[in-house]
Amino acid sequence: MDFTLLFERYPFFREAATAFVVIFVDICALVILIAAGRERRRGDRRWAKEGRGYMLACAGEIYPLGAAEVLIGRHPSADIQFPDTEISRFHALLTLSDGKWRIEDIGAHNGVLVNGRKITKPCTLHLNDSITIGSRRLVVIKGDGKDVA
Amino acid sequence: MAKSSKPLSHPFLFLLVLLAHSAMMLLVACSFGITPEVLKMACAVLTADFVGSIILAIVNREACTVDTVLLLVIGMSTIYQSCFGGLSFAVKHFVFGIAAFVMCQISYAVTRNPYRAERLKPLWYGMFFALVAAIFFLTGSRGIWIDLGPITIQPSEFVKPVFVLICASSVRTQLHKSEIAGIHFVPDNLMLIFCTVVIAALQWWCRDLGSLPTFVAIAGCGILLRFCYLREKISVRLMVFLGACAVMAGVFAWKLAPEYVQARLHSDIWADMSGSGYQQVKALTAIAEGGWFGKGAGNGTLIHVAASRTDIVFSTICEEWGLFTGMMTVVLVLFLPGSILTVPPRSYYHSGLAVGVAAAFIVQMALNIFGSCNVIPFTGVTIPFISQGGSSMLASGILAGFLKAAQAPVLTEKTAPKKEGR
Repeated sequence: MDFTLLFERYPFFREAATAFVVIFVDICALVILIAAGRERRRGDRRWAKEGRGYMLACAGEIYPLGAAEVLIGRHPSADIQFPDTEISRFHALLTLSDGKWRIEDIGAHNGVLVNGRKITKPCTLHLNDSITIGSRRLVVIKGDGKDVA
Repeated sequence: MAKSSKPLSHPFLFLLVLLAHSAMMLLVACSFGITPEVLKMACAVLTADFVGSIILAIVNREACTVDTVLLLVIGMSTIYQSCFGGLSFAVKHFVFGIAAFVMCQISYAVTRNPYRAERLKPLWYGMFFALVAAIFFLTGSRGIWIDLGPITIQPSEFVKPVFVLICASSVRTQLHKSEIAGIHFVPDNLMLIFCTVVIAALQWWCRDLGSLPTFVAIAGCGILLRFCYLREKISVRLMVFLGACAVMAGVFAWKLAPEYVQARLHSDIWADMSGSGYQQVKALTAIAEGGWFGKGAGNGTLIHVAASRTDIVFSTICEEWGLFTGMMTVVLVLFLPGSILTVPPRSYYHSGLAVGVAAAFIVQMALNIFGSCNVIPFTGVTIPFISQGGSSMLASGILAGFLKAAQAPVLTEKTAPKKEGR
């Protein structure tokens, strides 16, 4: 059957075929976009594995570590913000590399203590380590990966 | 314990791409008959889908949504470009599309580790100034093209990905401050401002003002991210100050703009339909004539108007394939930067890259589509992956690679281990 002639004689067929193809391609595109949601879940699982599912707990509050760099301080741009005056605007920085979380003092007046010892260089964090920043005591805990933002 | 990740959707997604392209090819075959050109195009597009999906399935299975959408868009644009005004397989466009896909994978490999990508910043600065020098010395008299005989290169397109790499920054870099004469500053921020001024001045000098909003948008996003990290409560005073600066810059640019730009800003296309408003009038008429489902592949007339494959390509697609397809194409291209909303970046450097790419893609598309529709003055920029043009295609491929890197990062530092602080 010669579709070229059919399309020329009856424009309706051409329009119908075009509409069908366009809708079909649209549906394919839509399914691909929906599949992106699956990618997100996979990304979250990957992050939970990479970041070991570590979180910080302080006075009943849980702070998920959702990025490879987590800033702790008084400044509004800090990822974990404490309004205490003894905490510097930018107090400490947590970084993730090679599957390890490290904390470093970034020029805080009152310093950063890990398990009661003042740190002078980046220090690797382990589960149940205690971080003291000003009067705040944060504990490294492990979540189930669902809380990672 | 979460279930292990099984990327079962990967072959399924590429099957959808194959089906979408097959349906489009079927329509082309019905419109033109089964000619050698149709067969060549079908073989090329479907083989690229098949080979691309197999290679990606073997090599990497990360961030496959970006790859899937990229393959879909490149195939679609090859079919569009081959059918405009009659069937002729757009080999050059197809080859550059494949090259863009390869560039995407290369830039992904280079930038997937944010620590390494940031350590390479001196190299990005070097590339930036080398490209600026190329524009200044090699493009001829205030031009934007380098003529190499069989091909021409538009270096300003390649500045875009390099500029995005420069605009991105990490928290650690922002905390590193220097002091000169009692003034504290972040060297990285100073370099960003310097590079922005250099590229803006160069674009102004070589009369490529169409690309200027794209660079300004990338720089604006980079500067904004440096002031407001992702979770900051945005300072109203800061926003007012930055807004006032932007308005002032806009007013100055408007007042100092060259005569031809002033003419475009104030022109009425309907009053000069055969002169300065010719392209836009034709573009608008073509969209209206195309209707929802178009005149049919190859039946358009806009192809006879200059820049129908580049600057007014949206209208050309709407005329032949319909407004529905045109809008779907726009949504698909926008989905590339939009994909960072589904898989958020996990490092600030990658966030900066993703936001820069989003700014570049969105501004370019807005300038092209709104320019064609006479909502804003006609600028003559390309739609990423859809418009014809090798430099634009390759640069867009590199930018798409940054998006992929932001979604599937590798966080390792292959440096000498630091001494523990305890």
